[in-house]
Amino acid sequence: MRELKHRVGLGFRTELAPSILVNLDSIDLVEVMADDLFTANEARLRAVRTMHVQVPVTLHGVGLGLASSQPVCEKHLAKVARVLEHTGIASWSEHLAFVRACEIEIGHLAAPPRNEATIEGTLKNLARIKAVCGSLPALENVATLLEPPGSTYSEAEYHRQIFRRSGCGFLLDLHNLFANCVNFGRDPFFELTQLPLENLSGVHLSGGHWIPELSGAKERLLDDHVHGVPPEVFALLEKLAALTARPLDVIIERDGSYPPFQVLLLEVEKARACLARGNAKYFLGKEPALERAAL
Amino acid sequence: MSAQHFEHFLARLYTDEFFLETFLSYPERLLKNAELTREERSALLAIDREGLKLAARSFRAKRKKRESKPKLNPLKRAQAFFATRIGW
Repeated sequence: MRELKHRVGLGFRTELAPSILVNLDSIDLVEVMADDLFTANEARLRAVRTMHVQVPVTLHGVGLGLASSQPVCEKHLAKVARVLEHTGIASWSEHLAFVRACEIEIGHLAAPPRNEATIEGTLKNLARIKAVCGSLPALENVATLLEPPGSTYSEAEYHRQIFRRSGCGFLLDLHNLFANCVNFGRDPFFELTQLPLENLSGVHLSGGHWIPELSGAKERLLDDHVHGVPPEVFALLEKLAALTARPLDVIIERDGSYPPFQVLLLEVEKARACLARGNAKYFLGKEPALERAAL
Repeated sequence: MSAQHFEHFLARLYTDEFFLETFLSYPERLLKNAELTREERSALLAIDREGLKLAARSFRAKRKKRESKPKLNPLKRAQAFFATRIGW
């Protein structure tokens, strides 16, 4: 049976740094927040380069707000370009979100209206990003508590349009997919098959918690990165590995309420097991495979 | 240009509590003077109000958390410093 070279790792956070560094044998790659390096001095940037020698590092941005009809902030873009240049790391990603409008900073990732104006704006922003940074980021789907008003495309169709027209890699956050599906009454396993997996370049796994609606009628799942990866998201990873023969970079994200480090390493192992089981199904033909023809 | 006004309107709903309350109480009145197309006004009148309130609350919490982000305790700072010395 063919074996795929997946890489499974963790999001690098200062609180986890010592544990990550002494457990590099158990981690295939780490993801560093690009925005955390905007004010980094040369020594800190050199430290990232040094770490990149020991373990593959990918950079992850949160503040560009490129999925917008408005141009990306040039100051922010210059900071991203500086980090890319000074670390020498080629692999990077950003979110399909808007984070500001005119002078208003939302302070987090907002799902943009899924319509033609946003797609056109996103493509223009990507062209500008490529001109300044010299490369395109992989793009990550975002979680939302609100179906974005003004949308004319479904979430899956919006992503198909973006990736077909931009050619960017797709960083698929499975918890974001799961949260949006359970919050808005869709089947995440079916939704997964509707996404542009031909552009898939990486996967994020994380957790969240249920919050009550203010009316108290229902609950919605909030993607918060401070809870463990739920079983449904591991099941989605297995399903994903059964649908594609691509080697995947999988990052487990944790932004707070840190458990003992062994718990995170167990999640890394679980992810590896899901990938192996999913790939076994793919190669044994137990699942309909989207890319079988490409092999 | 209107798409930008629409995003601006959404950003205000997500960040300005008074604007949000006014919108929830008197949407037509607030939309009357907004530079939006008829379709955009209709989309906002049909907005998922529960989702909007939760999203605005979540964004507010994120902003507050960022503003009051506690500094690492001395032990964690020392660990982080040690980490930079050994290669990170």
